[in-house]
Order: sequence, then C-alpha cells, then structure tokens
Amino acid sequence: MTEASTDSAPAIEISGITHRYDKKTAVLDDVSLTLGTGFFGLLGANGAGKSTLMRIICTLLKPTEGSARVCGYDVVDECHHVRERIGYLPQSFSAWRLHRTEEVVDTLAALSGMTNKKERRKRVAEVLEEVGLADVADRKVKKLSGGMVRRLGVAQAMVHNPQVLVVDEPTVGLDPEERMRFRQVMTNMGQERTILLSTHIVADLGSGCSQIALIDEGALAFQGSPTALIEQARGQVFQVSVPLESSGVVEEKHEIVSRTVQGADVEFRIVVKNKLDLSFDATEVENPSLEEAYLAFMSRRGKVEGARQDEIDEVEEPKKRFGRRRIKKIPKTTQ
Amino acid sequence: MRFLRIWSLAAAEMRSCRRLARTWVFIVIAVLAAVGQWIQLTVVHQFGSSISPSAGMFGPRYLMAAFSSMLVLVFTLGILFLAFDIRSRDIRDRIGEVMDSRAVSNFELVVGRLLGIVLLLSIPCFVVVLLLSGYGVIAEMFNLGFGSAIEPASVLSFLVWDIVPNLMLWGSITIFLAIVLRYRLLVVLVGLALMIAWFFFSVRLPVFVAASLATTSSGTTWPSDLVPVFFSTDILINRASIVVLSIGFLALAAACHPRQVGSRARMTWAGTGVASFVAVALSLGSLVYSKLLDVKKFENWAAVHEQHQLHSATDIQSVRGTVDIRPGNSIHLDLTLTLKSLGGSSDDSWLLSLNPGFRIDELTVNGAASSDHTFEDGLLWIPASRDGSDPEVRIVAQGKPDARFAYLDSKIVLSKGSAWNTQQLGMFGYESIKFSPGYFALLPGASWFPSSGAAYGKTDWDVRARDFFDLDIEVLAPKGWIVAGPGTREPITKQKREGFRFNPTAPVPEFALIGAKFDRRSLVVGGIEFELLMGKKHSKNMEQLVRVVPSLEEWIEERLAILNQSGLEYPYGTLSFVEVPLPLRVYGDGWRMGSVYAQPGIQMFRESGLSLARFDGPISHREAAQTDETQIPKFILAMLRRFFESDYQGGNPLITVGFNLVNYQTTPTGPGATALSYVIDELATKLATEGDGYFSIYEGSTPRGFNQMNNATMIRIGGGGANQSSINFRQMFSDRPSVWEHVLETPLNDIDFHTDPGSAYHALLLKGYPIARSLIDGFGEEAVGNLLRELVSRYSGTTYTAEQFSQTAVDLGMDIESLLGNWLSTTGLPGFVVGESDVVRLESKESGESVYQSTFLIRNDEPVPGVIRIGYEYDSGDKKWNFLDLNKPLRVDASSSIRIAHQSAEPPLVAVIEPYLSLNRDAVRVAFPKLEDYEPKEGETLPFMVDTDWRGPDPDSVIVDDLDDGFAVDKDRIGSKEDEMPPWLRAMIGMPDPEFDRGLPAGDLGRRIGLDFGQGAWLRNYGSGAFGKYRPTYASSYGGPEGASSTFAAMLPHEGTWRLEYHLPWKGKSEYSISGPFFSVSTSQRSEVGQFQIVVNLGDDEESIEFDGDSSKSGWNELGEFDVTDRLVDVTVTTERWSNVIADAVKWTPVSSGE
Repeated sequence: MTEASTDSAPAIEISGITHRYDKKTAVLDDVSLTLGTGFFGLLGANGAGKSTLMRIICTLLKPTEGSARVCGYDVVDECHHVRERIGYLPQSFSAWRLHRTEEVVDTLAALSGMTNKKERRKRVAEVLEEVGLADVADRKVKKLSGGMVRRLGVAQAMVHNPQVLVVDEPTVGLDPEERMRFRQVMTNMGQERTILLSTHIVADLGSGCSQIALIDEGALAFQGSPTALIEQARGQVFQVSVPLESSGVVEEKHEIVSRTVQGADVEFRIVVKNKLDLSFDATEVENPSLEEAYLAFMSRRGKVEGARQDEIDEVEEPKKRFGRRRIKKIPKTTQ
Repeated sequence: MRFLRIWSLAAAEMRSCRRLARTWVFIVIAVLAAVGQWIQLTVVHQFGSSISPSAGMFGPRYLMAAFSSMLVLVFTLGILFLAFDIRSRDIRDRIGEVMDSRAVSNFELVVGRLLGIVLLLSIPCFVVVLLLSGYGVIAEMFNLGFGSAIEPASVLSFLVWDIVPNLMLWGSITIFLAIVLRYRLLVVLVGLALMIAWFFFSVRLPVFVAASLATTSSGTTWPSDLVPVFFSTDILINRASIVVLSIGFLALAAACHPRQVGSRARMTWAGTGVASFVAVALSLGSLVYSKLLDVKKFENWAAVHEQHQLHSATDIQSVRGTVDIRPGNSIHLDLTLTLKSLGGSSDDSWLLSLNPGFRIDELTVNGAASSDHTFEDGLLWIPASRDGSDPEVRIVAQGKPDARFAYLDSKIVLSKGSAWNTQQLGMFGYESIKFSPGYFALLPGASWFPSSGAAYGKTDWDVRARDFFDLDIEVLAPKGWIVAGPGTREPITKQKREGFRFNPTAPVPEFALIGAKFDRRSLVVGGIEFELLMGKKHSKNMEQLVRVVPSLEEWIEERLAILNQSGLEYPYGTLSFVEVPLPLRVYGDGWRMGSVYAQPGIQMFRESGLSLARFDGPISHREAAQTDETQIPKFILAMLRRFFESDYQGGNPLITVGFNLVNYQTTPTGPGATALSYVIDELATKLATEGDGYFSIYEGSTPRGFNQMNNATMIRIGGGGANQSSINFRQMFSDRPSVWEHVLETPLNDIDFHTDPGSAYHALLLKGYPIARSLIDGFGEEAVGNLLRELVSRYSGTTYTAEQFSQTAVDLGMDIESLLGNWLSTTGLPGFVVGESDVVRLESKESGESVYQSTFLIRNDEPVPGVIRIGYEYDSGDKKWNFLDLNKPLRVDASSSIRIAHQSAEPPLVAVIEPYLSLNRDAVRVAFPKLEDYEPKEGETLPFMVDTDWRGPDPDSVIVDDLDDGFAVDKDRIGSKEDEMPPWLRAMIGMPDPEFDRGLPAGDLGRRIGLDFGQGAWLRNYGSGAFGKYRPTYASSYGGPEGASSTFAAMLPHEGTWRLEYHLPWKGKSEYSISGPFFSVSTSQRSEVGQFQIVVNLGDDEESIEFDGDSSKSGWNELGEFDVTDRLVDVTVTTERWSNVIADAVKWTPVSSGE
C-alpha cells in the first residue's frame, strides 16, 4: 500500500513523448505534460492518443521517444517503482470471470503490496462500499452487469490507495447515477493524490477537475484549467430561438450543443467558429459550459465533428459491447 | 521475490483453475484412473498372489512401482491442459493490463501462477494416494480382506520426489510456451510433442543415462519393506536439477513476457534462465558422467578379469577366520585361506579375486608378511612359494564392498540396455548386494570374500573347474541381528555384538551372508533344521501358513526317506529360507545368468512373494468347502507347491534346493560339463522336491517372454490356479521348432552357450529335462539317488568329468547308454511309429469274468534306443489317463519293434504313448477300433510286451511327407517374418516369436492373419489326422493372389506300375488361439480342403488330375496307377488364386515290377 507522495517530484511528468505503432503514424507526437496532486482530465476524441498516453504512464507501453516519470520514477527504466505507486483502470476492463467480486479486489490489493490480511480485508470492504458493490461482493464477476464491472475496475484501481490513479474512460457503461457517484469519488480522492482521468465525455470531469489537457491527433492541444478553456470559448457559443418548423435550417448550418423545445419554438445552443458565420440572430452565451468550451475549442481546430462523434460513440459503444442490449438514444434536447 | 504476492497469485490461480470445468473433468479422470488401476492391481494381487509369487510385485504393498509413472503422466498432462492458456486467459478476461500494471515482477507472476497450478494438481494426487494408503492401513487393521497398506517410504518418495518436481517441470515448460507462443493450440501441440519426445528420448537412452535423467523413481527404484528407500543421492541431485530447470524455464518465461519491464530485469531473468540451464546441464551431466564412469569401471574390471579367466591354478582348500559386519558402514575381514600348492603349474602367483571396495591392511603367507602382493582392480596376486607345501594366507581387509564390482561376465548388463528394452529386466532386481544399516545381503557375485581366480568365467565349467573349499568362519553382526549363512549357525557369546559360527561339514564353492533383525520360525525334520527368516512387518502370513506344518513335515519326511534310502544327505544342517528386498538382483552372471537366490544353506525369496501373498482367501474358501480339518494342511501344502512352481522370477525353492545335494559339493568339468551339471541338478531337484519350474532371464527380461509368462500366469489366475499346464513355462519356451532344430543339429556338449545363450539354454532344457526324467523313471529314484550319492562321495570338494560320471554309473550297474544312447555327444534320437491296433474281449478261464485285451505294435525306427511310457484312455464318463508302470518306462531298442498287449476291465479307446525324448516330439495316440458288440472270444492272455519283426507301416511303399526333403513349395510363397504380425505387437500381446518348422512358417493365429489370409503363403500345420511318420503335420496355403503350388518328389526303388495315393488330414475344425496379458481368444476354422490340380510327372510322361478335396475322405485317397519308367517322379499340387490347398503326403505303392 502506497501513501500519497510527499516528495517534491511532480506526480506525472511527461516530456516530449512520441509514440508510433508503425513507422508512418505517430499516435502521440511530442507530448509534454506535468501534473501535480489533483484531478486531471485528459480530453480528446477517440483515437486521439489518450489511451496510448495512459498506457505509457502505467508502464504498459514503452514510448518511441521521450520520457515519462511518475513520482519521479522513469516509466521505462524504473517501471517497478512506478507500478508501486499507481492504480490503473484500463478502458477495456473486466476481471477473472469465475472469481467473486471481493476476491478480485482482494487479490489485486495483495499484489499491490497490501500484505496485512486484516487491513486488506477492511480496505476491500471499504472500497466496495464506496463504489457501491458491497451488496455483490460475493457475486462472481461473470454475473455482474457492465456497470458493476466498471465499478469493480474503479475499486481495484483505488483499493491500495495509489499515489497516482490513472483511469481510462471510467464511466463508459455507467448509468447517470453511477456517473455522479463516480465523479464524487474522484473528486474526493483527487484532494490527496493525483488522478488522471481520460474521457471524451466532458461531463465526466465534473467540478472537481482542476486541470485539463486536450489531446488532438496525438498532440497536446491544450493544457490548463477548465476556466481557461471556458474563457477561450467566449464569443463562440450562442443561443438562438427559432420556430419549430425552421429548426432544421439551424441544425443543418450550425453545430448544436443543445436543443430545447419551448412551445412552438426551439431553443438551440450552438457553437460557431466565427461570429460572422451566424446566419440569424443569436445571443452570445456569457458563461459557456465546459462541454461547450470543449466543442468550441475543437471547432476552432475544425474537429467539432470528431468531438461530437465521441458523444455518439458513447451511446454506440455499449451496443457494440453488449450486442443484444437495448440502447436508448441520447435525445438531442437536454433540459 | 516477495512470497506474499506470489502466494496471492497462486491463490488466485488456484481459484481460477478450481472453477474451471476442465479442471474437474481432468481430476475426475485422473482419480478414476488411479483408483481404477489400484483396484485392478489389488484384484489381481488378491486372486493371483496365492498362485504365483510373480504377481506380488504389483500388489498394493509395492503399488507405487507400478502406479507412480501412470500418475505422473496423467498429472503432467493435466498441468499442460491447465497452464496452456495461462496468459491468454488474462487477456480473455480483460484483466491483463491491470495485472501488468501491478507491482509484481514477471518472475513473481509466473512463479505464483505455477505454484497455484502445481498445488491445485498436487492436492488431488496427494489425497488419492493418501486415501488409498489410509484405506490399506484400515484394511489391514480390521482384516477387511481386500487391499493392504502401501509401503510408506515409497508413498512419501512419490509425493515429494516424483509428483511435485514433475508438475513443476512440465508446468514451467508449459508456462514458458504459453508466454512465447501466440496460439494456445500451438502451446498444447508443442507441449505434447515435448512430452512425447522426452518419453521416447528417455526410454531409448541406456539405463545408466536414463536413470540419471529420469524424472520419476519408478522403474529405477523398487519399494521395499526390508530396506525402505525414501531418497538416494542420485534422486536428490536429479530432483534438485529439475527444480532448477523449472526455475530456468520460469526465468526465461519472465524474460520473454510481453509485459514491459526494464531491460536490466529482462536481462537478469534471461541470464538466470541460461544459468539455470547451464547448472542443470552441469549437475545432470556430472551425474551421467559419474554413471558413465561406473560403466567404464565395470568394463575395465570385466576386461582385466577376462584376461585371467582361465587361471585355474589357485585352489582354495579352506577358509577360516572372522567376518565382522557393520551394516551400511564396513566389513572387516580377517580370514586365513589354505591354498593348494601350485605344484607343477607354470603360474608363479596365486590369484584371488576380492571386491575392490576393500583395503587390504595385512597379508601374510605362512605367518610372514607379504610385501610383494598386489591388489588392483579386484585381483589379488600373491607370489607363490615353491616349497611344495600348501600355504596359509592370512588376509586382513576392511571396507565397504563396491556393488558395481559384481557379475562381471554377465551376458546382459542392465545399465547398458535402453530403458525401453530393460523395463522387464529391471523387475529382476538391480542391486548385486545390499549393504544398508538395517539389512545386508552379501552375495558371492560381488566377491565380498576372497575367491580363487578371476571374477570372470567362473561358471564356464567346461573350461574352468569350479573351486570348492571348507569353511569355518565367525560372523559378527549388530546386537539383535540374525545372520543366515551356509548352513547351521552356532551362536558365539560376544559383548555388544551378535556372533555366529558357520562351519558346514561339506565344502562349498561360494556362500552368502544375509542379516537383519528377522522374525524367525523354524522346523526340524529328520535332523535338518528348516528356518524361515522374514522381515518383522511380513510375519502376518505366517499365522496362516503355520497350519501347513503337519503336512509339510510329512512331505519332507517322505522326501528325506527317499534321499536317505540312497544315502544322499542334505549336508549343511540348516536350510534357511530368507526374505530379501525387491531390489536385490535375482540373476547371476556367466552365460546362464541363472538365479542366485539359491546359495549353500540358503534359499532366498523376494519380499513381494510369500510374505504378502493373499493365502487367506483360498484357505478360508477351502475351509468353507472342506469339513475335514485335517485336509486343510494338505491343501495349503499343495497350494504352496503350485505357488512356487509358478515363480518365474528365480525364487522357486523347489528347483534350487536340490543344488545343495550335489552341485554345491561337486560339479562336472570338461566337455559337456554344463549340460551334465544341468541334468544332475534336475535329478537332485526331482529327488528332493519333485519340483518343477522355469527361470530364464533371457525370456523373463524381454517384453515378449515376460508377457508370455504373464499371460500364462493370468490364465492360471483366471482359472483359479487349476490350469497347471498353462504355467509350464519350460515347455512353452523350449518345445519350439527352432529349439528342436538346434537340438537335432548340435550335441549337448557342443552347444555354444556364449553366442546365443538364450537359445542354448532352451536346447539344454528341451533335451536335458527329459533325459533326467528318463533316468529317474528308467532306473528309479533310489538308483539315481545312489548315483548322486556316489558322485558326492567320490568327488566332494572337487570336480568330475563326463567320463567319470558315466563310469560311476557303470560301477553302480546303471547302463545309461543302453537306455538313452550317447545323449551327451550325439544328436540322434529315437523315433516311434505305431502299427495295427485291436481290442478283443476274452473270457477268463479262471474267474469266468471277461477282460478286454488291447494290442498294438510300436517300432523305434531310428538307430538310437528310446524310452516310452504308455497310458490308456477309457470311455468311463470322464476321460481317464492310466499310465502303466509309471516309474518303469519301457525301453525300446534301436531299430526294433515290440507288441504291447494290455488287459483291462473296460475297453480302451486310445493308447497314449509318451516318448520322453524322441523325434515324435509329442505323445503318439493309438486309437482302438470301437466295436458295437464285444463278443467274448476264446484266446490267450498275451504278455504285456514282446519283440516282433514288424518293419513298420507300409514297408514297401515310398511315402513323401510334407516334412521330407522331397517336399518343396514355390519359394516366393514361403513368406518371411517381416510379412507377419509386427514384432512389437507380438511382444505386446505376449505371442511367441514366429517359428519356422523345416523351412515353413509354423502356423499360429498371428501367422494366419498375416500370411495365410493376407498373402496365401505356405504354412506348416499341426493336427491329428495329418500324416507324418513321427509328427502329424501338413502344409497348406490359401492360394493368395497368384495361387500356390507344392511338389512331392521321390526316387522310386524300381520301375513298374505304382499306385499313387494322396493323404488328406482330418477334415474337422482347426483351432487357433491368441492370448494377451488380459485376454485370450480362440477361433476354430473349418478345414476346407478345396479343389486343386495334381500333376503327376513321370519323367517323359505327365498326367493331370483334378482333385476335389471336399468330396474326398480323410486319409489316403487313391489317385490311380501309373507306369513308371523313370524312377525319379514327382507330384505337383497347384491351386488357383484365393483357393485353399492342402499338401500332406503322397504314397507310392508298387503294384507290379516293371521287369
């Protein structure tokens, strides 16, 4: 069991990381990033390179170029020390199908150095409680729902109180209530350790997120606070209200953030790259949300389709994963 | 390495595997296989161990020897099928990345997972073995009657040294493969291929290499109660190497693991792996090298001793002194040998052989210290003095006998054979001596005491005389021990030690000492003490067998009376039956490699036989059926005799006890000594015990021979021990066409016993055994006893030649040559033909009652005298044999005929003539005509035997039989051994080797399948109804794809008109049988004669005849009369393809002279 870092080294220090799976394509291109204690969000479209970066941080992948250090330890040469200090939830996580929930967490806790059986048992119970799996502690993994498996993944990642928690797309498959609970857990944990959360769902970051890094096509496009990202989006997010019968025109010409039907009118929040692009009267939104800021940012980079596609993927992915489950489409209108 | 993390991984792995269905499927199969084999072996032991001691080796007590290899195989297969997807399971369960990001090193990862699987598989293995052991203990405690405890050291050894290291090794290999190979199927295939390759590799290595590399103890270590073996240095080195090898594979797996690690760690693991392999190569290589040195050492000793094998000038006359034995530690010898002066010998030194494990501390000749003797490679050279006196040589030596220095001139050396070829040989023991802290068996083959000449060629009595000496030694052993030796053991008072004096009144050629804290029982009959020395754990059977004492005493008294009538005596006062551990080697050296379990005054028996046999079942069964209590001891005695007769592992006392009477006191020498010695042994054995049996390492050590004997034993067990004839190994192995041809080509004293000793031994058996029986039956037991007594009397302590033997017999009025001809130096045998038989009912003039008088003619048509016995079979419900004058067989002179007349109350059906040794090879049956009504006739009662001038059947006819030189078949239809059932299959099912009888394959079912039906080759068939002057045989072919033909050629004595007849055998059913270890199948086949063409070639003329065999009669069928102008005639019999043809015999009978 590792305690939170007290030394002066940054929790994560990434320096000029480039990674190629083949000679032509760089999945990561000269990414540099430094993270201290707190909750960090790593945003980016699917295929942007987030998971590759996280796998490098978690010592699962050796970068082609550059270096990364976790708590001062090099992820390649001192991977063992790094592993002592991290907790990792991969994007595609499950566990031994025939083990019970509690057994999985207990085993992985032991492998992380929690050798005191009594303390380990106590901690396993705590963490299962935290992620809401206490009631299914005796249930075999193969009988858990997709959401439960994700929560199990969270539990195993944090059971040993790692100094650095790396979670890759942790909320995929979670229902809204579970997401909310997850965000709360992350926020709490982020107060005393470093959490690096990769997602393409901006809402996952929640209020606890202190820093954001945006990765686009393998390159670090933005690093800063959510406020800074929101600040950059000012002048790009507008609200427009049109009659219901004209809503199609708006949807055709602009990137829609949200759509609300109010009587005979439809109210849209839209993102534009340039105010001059507006073809009808619109009101600038003075305090864009983080999601709108992200879309605005991507819009500026001409990648808004990709950013929006992520949301569609978020809906589609469970369908791929749990083929025969009924998937509810996300309504374009949010209240 | 952090154990708790490893343990967590192991626990997780166990959990995973425990919940896999395949794990349970495998465990259930493994447990069922284990329990199934235990039940099978226990059942066989339950019912078979009272029938044959050989069945005891695989009984429940020593189960691990037979059991452990199977268990190891099953469980190593199990680990392959559990570990082959060890990596891909993580990936499939999508926990691979989480595991990889954990702070566990690759090495810990693979070690933990291996530990988990090994533990998971070990547990059921442990449980099943311990449950079987536990059941056995309970079964013994409560006399459950089925099963017994497994020898505990072997169980522990198996669990610690066999199962766990093997699981580790194959588990680590599988994990390594699972890491480096991408596809799971490939892992399984490569893993299986490696296992199979290892199996084939290891079984084809010489034993000394394979034993060093073997990963299991079975086959190389036999369990023993007397000397339990938990481990040996070799096992320790081997298993430590296996563990290191496993670590090497795991380290390589860690190095090759796709998980990202620092290059330094990867290099460290790779280096560890390579270093492990190097260490294993070095340790196992050293072990193999040490064994190679052992072999080289043995070969060197053998070569050195072979050079001096003919040194026969050294004659030890007496040995006296002290043998102080400190078991497991050392032997202190203080012996004084009286040697015979070299006299006129050209040798200038005495030569003794002594185990090189000894160090000679002091050597004096006539009290003066010798400084110029040499002792090297087990040869002790002592410069001879030429003063003409017999010197006294005192040897003070100490050391631990080197077990490698033993049986230097063995024809078969276990360590040189491959493990595959010697798996049966290993069952006959592998340790020349036993010298452990709890038990010692010092056999003379290891030269643990000084003996004359080189330790090579000592049994070549034809060229090297056996040396006999008087013995008077004191043997010291630990307190509480009993030592068996050459005869009576006189206790000597010693402080802190047991002391015994052995001073037999008769000389000995060698002797053994066997000691332990035995449980002792004894019996004195006729002044001879019979003692039974057994391990204390094995005395339970004695409670059952003690009931045999009254009958045993009676039987021994009866046999002693016969011996005493002739003055033949057991010379050593006490005969000790001593239990010896299973690993003690049974067979000796020389060409014969006979059983060494018989030594002067000692008869050894293996701990798997008498000690553990389940006599309780048959005895209680008998008790339930037999109301007369007094019959039970007789039943037990009969059971014990049958039991020992069925021992094909060299422990049959019924055949070896006789050695004490003559051959340990005087032995033949010179040409024919080997054969003569064999006959003398047979005579002594028959007189002493009426015993019978067989031991040949040449058969017992081959899979074929072993399985043949096993089959016979199993058949006997299946028949409840009743089918005694099936166990007659002697007949099974020696009464074969090839052995007969050997005997008919080579006189006994010219047999080369060294080139092909196995065949030579069978030739000796085939001829020597009936010779011995003829002598006993012909002259009577008393006369033969006299002869043996006279031999001992004249030549005790020295040797005699074949001529001296003959002269001794002549001196006693026994004309052996007139009875048997010159049986030792010629090949001639008598041959008997029978003539007309008849039965008449005679009115008795005296009593008025009628008797049936049967008559028939017999002719010995060979220029060698012969001996026969005659029996009659009557139609009185059950067929009954009634041998006439059993102990006085009839002698039939060379080339002479007799008429036998026999009067009986019932009309006989058949007379059976049993020739002891003749060209007939088998009994000859004479059928009497069965009359509807036996009208009493007047006539006189004929004497039993009278000479006649009968010249034999058809004296004027010329008969060409299928065994005659004039008979030939088309050469390409003869077939060869290669065409037949594969040798390995024959070996596996215990079928005898293919035999050729007078050039044609002797038919058996295997042959019929391979040759007859497959290719239509000619076969030699046997059966009544066939014609044969001495042997009823006929040749047959199924035609095959090209048809078949045979020719009967004859040179007629004159020209003229001759009648030609063709003989057909009995057209009934022919029976063939085939049997394996656990089955026996027989089939009967209707003899379809078929239609074939007969061409009579009369020189210039030729006649063709279509012969319809199916409509012809059995016996002679006339083909016509032919005018013969050319005396050289032949008859060719041909058949179309796939059509049956039978070629038995043709007969030319003169009708008129051509003049």
